[in-house]
Amino acid sequence: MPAIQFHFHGLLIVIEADEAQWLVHYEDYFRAYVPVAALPTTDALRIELRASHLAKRPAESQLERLAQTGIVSLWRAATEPETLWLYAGATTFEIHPSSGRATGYLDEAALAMPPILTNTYSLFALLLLLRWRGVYHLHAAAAQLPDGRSCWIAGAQRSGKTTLVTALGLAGWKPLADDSLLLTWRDEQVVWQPMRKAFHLGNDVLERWQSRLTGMNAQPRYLDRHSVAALEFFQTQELAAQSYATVDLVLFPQVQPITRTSIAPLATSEALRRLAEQSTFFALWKAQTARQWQALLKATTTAQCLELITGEDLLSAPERVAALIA
Amino acid sequence: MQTNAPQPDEAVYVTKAQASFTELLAEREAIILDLDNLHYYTLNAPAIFLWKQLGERVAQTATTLARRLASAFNLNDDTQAERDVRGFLDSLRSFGLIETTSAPAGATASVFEKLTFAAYETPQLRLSNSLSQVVLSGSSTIATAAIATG
Repeated sequence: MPAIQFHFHGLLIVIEADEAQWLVHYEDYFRAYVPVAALPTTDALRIELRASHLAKRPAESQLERLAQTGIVSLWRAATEPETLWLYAGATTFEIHPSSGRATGYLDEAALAMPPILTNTYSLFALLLLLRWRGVYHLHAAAAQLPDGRSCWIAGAQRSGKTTLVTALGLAGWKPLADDSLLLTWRDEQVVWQPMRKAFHLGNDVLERWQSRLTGMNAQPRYLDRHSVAALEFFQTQELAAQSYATVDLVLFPQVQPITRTSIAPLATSEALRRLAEQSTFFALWKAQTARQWQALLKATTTAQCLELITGEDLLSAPERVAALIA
Repeated sequence: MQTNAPQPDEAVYVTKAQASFTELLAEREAIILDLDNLHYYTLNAPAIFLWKQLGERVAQTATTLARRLASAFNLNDDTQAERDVRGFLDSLRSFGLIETTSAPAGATASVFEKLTFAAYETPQLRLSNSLSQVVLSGSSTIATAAIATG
């Protein structure tokens, strides 16, 4: 079976597919991670991509729904509680976290929208496998300040994480990730790492900064976003590949139709609650929830937390906003 | 000298093991995440004081807690301290954050006796919200919209 394999945050990932062409988009999505030729070990996490007619979905009456966002839903089989099913329209993933395996069943519609397949559906399956192994996903952007401090930018979709981290990059910060961080424990120490992938920048923002982003590779993605090679543009690939123990600054942006960006301190208790909310699958598997919570607490022990209401000046004068924060 | 000995008819309380308590600002800001149901609570200064007394088994009955609360916050009104402690214990019980035990109350030396506390207010345990919903963060909404529009 055609496959790609690569080291990913301390684990070996193997993605196999019935058709070699299905792997092209995965190679592109995970291009920051160096492919390995070695035979996979039993510790590898495996995702197989197969034709949809091979799926043996349980009857709905046998399933318990764990989560639903739009048409994406996560289910657990009553008869086989360790098996999870992720339904997402044209794809179905059967996930066996304890054995580190997931199978994605795809139909033609899924293959017609490969960025969604690679970025969302397969990623959710992979994040579940990672979670079982103690690697936790945080829905946040990250950057390094010019003085070397580290910063997370956390918030729900459309809160402006990608725009803010890119704006801060234009102002001299070093962008590391636009929406995905991974936290884990190593020798009882917390480490977090950016997930290295393309940023997904709004078309309107890309157009607005056209002259400042000259030379940035940008590919249309879907709807109103472009996939941009931001780590390459800001030359932060090496920084993004490093591990960090703590974070110094945590920002919670919110886009508002105002002229000037404003900033206010946020109580740590509220900041931690919001970080837990942005921790994917936080409520799943008690032992992992406890470890993930302790990881969040430890990583943010000395962090300053700020709420940022971003206005028009973020686009027109990113340097002013960066100075306001720093 | 005051003792921690409970009154004969008084329950002895202990904090629930699954309640993860974290002090964020010494004696001023703290949170509890109940890992059983993922309810998330914030505590004010007197509530932090009482929780730590319970958690460290310094005082575990309403009477001993009230005595220590009054002492720590310089309350002259013992009746108020007792009333506030019983109210706080009621909240903890209703949220399932404490349990009664048949073990005798502990008598560990208090770590608070030399500290100065903030001005007194009624101990408050505030349920912020529950984090029990399994969250699919990320690009799913965008993806959903993309599929819906073809």
